[in-house]
Amino acid sequence: MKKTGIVLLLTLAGCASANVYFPASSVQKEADKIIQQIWQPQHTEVKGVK
Amino acid sequence: MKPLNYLFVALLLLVSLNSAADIEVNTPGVRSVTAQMQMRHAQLLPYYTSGAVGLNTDGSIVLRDIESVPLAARQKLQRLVEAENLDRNRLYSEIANANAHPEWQSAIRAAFAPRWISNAQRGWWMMSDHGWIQK
Repeated sequence: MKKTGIVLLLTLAGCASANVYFPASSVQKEADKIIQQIWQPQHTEVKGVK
Repeated sequence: MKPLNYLFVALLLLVSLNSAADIEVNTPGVRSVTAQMQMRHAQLLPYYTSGAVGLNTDGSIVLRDIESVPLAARQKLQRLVEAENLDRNRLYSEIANANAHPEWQSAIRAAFAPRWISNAQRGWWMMSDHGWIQK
């Protein structure tokens, strides 16, 4: 039981520290997808321009 | 009870690892604001192309050359730019809130800012360290 307690404590600490990090590369990827979705219909009208 | 405890801990660990790597953007709030921005883009596009509207370095847009816009269209364009910037702020805050980190809003804005510029079409105007430049 004591061991479980320690593991649980470590995991909770891990959760806290993991969620503190800002997932920058994931945000960048999602930003590209969102921006391309917002700007997409007009992109197809302008041939070869990006 | 003990094995169940371990299972619970393992699940927690998986959830925490997963949430650290990815950001959640697939929420009704995000979808609603991006749909509005997509519709507005059709109206803004001619002004990006003409240079009346430019992209700022902070993830917003700017009415940079109102003189080039016919008098009759100016007020409407001002409202469009304001609405677009409000929606962009809403987008950043929706994403931050969807990930239970409202304090991430400014970091999300900062991450979006160069992506808007990178995805912009050639010929659009953008703010740089040396003032307005054309892509």
